[in-house]
Amino acid sequence: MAGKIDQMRKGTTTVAILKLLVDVGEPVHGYEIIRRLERRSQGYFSFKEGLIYPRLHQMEQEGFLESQWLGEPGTRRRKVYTVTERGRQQLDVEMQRWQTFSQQMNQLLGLEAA
Amino acid sequence: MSAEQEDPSSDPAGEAALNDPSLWGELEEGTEICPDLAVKVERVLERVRAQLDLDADREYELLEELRSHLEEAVAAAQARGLDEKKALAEAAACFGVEEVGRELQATHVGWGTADGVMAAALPVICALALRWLVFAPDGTAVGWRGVLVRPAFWVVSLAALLVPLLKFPRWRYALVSWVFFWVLSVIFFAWPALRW
Repeated sequence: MAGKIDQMRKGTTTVAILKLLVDVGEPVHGYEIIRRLERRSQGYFSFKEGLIYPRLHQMEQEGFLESQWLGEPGTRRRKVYTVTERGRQQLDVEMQRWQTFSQQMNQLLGLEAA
Repeated sequence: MSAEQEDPSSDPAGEAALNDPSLWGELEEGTEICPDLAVKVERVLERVRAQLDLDADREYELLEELRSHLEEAVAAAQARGLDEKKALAEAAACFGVEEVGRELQATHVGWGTADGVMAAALPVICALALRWLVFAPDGTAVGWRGVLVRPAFWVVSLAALLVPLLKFPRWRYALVSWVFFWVLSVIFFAWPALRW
């Protein structure tokens, strides 16, 4: 059960990050991603901030994101992320899946007219 | 994001982190209570590093990204009016130091293993391709001088270098892969009738 919850958490994190980066439309570094996600959720979702980085790196390995370093070595450098074409396709799939899931749940719980 | 994880706002000043001796170290009498911020950030990063067992380049890059995050977080907390000590403690408390180290290790170690397998397989495949390209099926060889003027040899040898260099994030793998390819090639040239 804990594994499924973990998978769900990772899945929702993936779609949230992809949507954010697509909406922003420019390279964003990890700290800024966290701040923007917090603002979007109006503080509802809280999490250990550093855990965004393993997720970002995994998404990069999966080809959903690409990164580059800004700044010269020896100065404060930032690693920024952008969404790849594959990431956009994955976002479309995940958004569709999420929409179907939420509609079905709302119907099941009687929160939405069938 | 998960709401079930620990809410850092329950410890907004990061008092737990402040009281953690592994973060602050043992302060001797007369030592400045709040040493340089960069040193303290490094102490936090050391706790992340303790969870990592990756190659040096990868670890350096990971820690540089985390360092940038912590510096941003401290600056933001200071802008809200916290002093340096509390700002770093809050940043560390919100960060999830050990968890981050474990997750980063889990994320990158698998990729490193895949790299290693590919890096080991590629030169062997290239060397076999080379042998197939420049040696007759009966094992007779054209000799190394003849081999060196064949474009196919250079295509394969360049592929043995460029594929791992562009594919793998670790340039050392590419170098080792290429050296391994050349060792096999030299063996083929020196002992063309050798059977494995």
